[in-house]
Amino acid sequence: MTQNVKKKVKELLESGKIKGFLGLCQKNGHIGPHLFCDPDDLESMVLGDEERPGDSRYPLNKLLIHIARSYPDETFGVLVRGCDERGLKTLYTWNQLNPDKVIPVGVACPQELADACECLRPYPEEFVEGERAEERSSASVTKISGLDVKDRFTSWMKEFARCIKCYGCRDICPMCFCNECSLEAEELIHTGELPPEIPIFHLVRAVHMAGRCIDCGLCNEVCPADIPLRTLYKKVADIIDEEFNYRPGYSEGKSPLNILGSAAEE
Amino acid sequence: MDYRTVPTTCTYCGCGCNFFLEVLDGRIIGTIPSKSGPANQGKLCIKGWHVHQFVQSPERLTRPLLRKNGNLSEVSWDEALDYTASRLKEITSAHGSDSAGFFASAKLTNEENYLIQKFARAAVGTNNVDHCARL
Amino acid sequence: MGDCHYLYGNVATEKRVRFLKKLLAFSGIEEERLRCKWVSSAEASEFVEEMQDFTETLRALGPSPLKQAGAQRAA
Repeated sequence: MTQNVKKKVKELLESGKIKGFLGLCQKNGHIGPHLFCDPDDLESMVLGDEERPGDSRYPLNKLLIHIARSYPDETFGVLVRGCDERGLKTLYTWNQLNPDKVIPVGVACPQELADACECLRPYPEEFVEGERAEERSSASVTKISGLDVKDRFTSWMKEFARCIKCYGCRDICPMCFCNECSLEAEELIHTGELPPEIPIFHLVRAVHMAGRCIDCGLCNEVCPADIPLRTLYKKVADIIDEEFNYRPGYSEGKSPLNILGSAAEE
Repeated sequence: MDYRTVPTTCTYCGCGCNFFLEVLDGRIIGTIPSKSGPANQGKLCIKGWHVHQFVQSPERLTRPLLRKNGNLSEVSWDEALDYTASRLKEITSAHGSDSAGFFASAKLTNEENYLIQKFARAAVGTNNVDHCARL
Repeated sequence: MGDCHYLYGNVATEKRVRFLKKLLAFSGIEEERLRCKWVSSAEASEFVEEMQDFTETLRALGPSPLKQAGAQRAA
């Protein structure tokens, strides 16, 4: 299942087009992120499917930012699924990565994963592995939208009340690259209480995901309290699409909420 | 350039969460919870998420400190252990075994925790053993 | 629009309010609780009218669910 990716990466490394390839490998019994630099040492490469498809996905884009900050002049390859590619596109618009210095190597997600993710586009534009699965719409969003307004409030509060304020949703998020975070601003978010002030804590994060969230779902997977954050952010993306005809990672250009540059001056 | 993701176990408590430490050119720059860690399954608490910050903190204690004339000063392990052993003997012989107490830690391994209670009970002869996770 | 002391401040606000009303509705907070209206400092009567109307709207909606949640927290 990884033959084509390995072949492609080997070519890229041997030709010197990339300094390293950020992908996933199986080591010490774990699947984890790994920077492959030697074209003859790709044996341990995997695509992140352990027991179920895509159950070991990692925020490779985010890690690539860490490396690129120290080595801005080097070009790196990176493993991308549909969501990761949307992430790359969005990070380019926010100037967090330089598109001239990134070579994505794509894999298409199997139908099982596309279904579980309710993914609108479970494949990157170009891929060397896998087959194009069918797109899925957001049944989870439709379900909550169908509730009465009071029931919607009760249901979200029940979910948010389990929050242990680990900040995992933010820390795993490939779109969370700010140096200062509103979720740590004492004047906005009270400290020293669990759960954090709800629903404000979660809605503040939801607002910040507007025009940014590319629906990778890592926040949902990392949450120790199983709060359905992905559903919340899917709705956020739907609203931005309805109101401004923009969907991060799918549409071209900057977010309509970006206050710098042409977007705000239109 | 040297970028590695090193699989390891959280030292903050006894749960045993697995994560990868992102190491760039010898410096730890990030923590990534391991999806296949049986204890944490890709999740972490707020302390685990920030492990990379304490490892290289300049405020971290790396050598024993001994209070001399009211001021803490760095000493060798030999000096610290000799001092502790002699004072333990003095105090317990003057006031009895129960005048000493031992605090273990969630940051120790099971085996180290076992040893400290064994030392307290068998060597010193007191049941005054406690643990930071109970505070 | 665009005729704002803070340059494009009202353009940004208008966009945010459009987004926020829908986010509030999805989170179970009535979107009528948020209202955005442009009133200049020379339009006192318009301001009064708007505030009276908004007050009536809020009164009809009853106490905010957030207030009830806050009271439960304090208890």
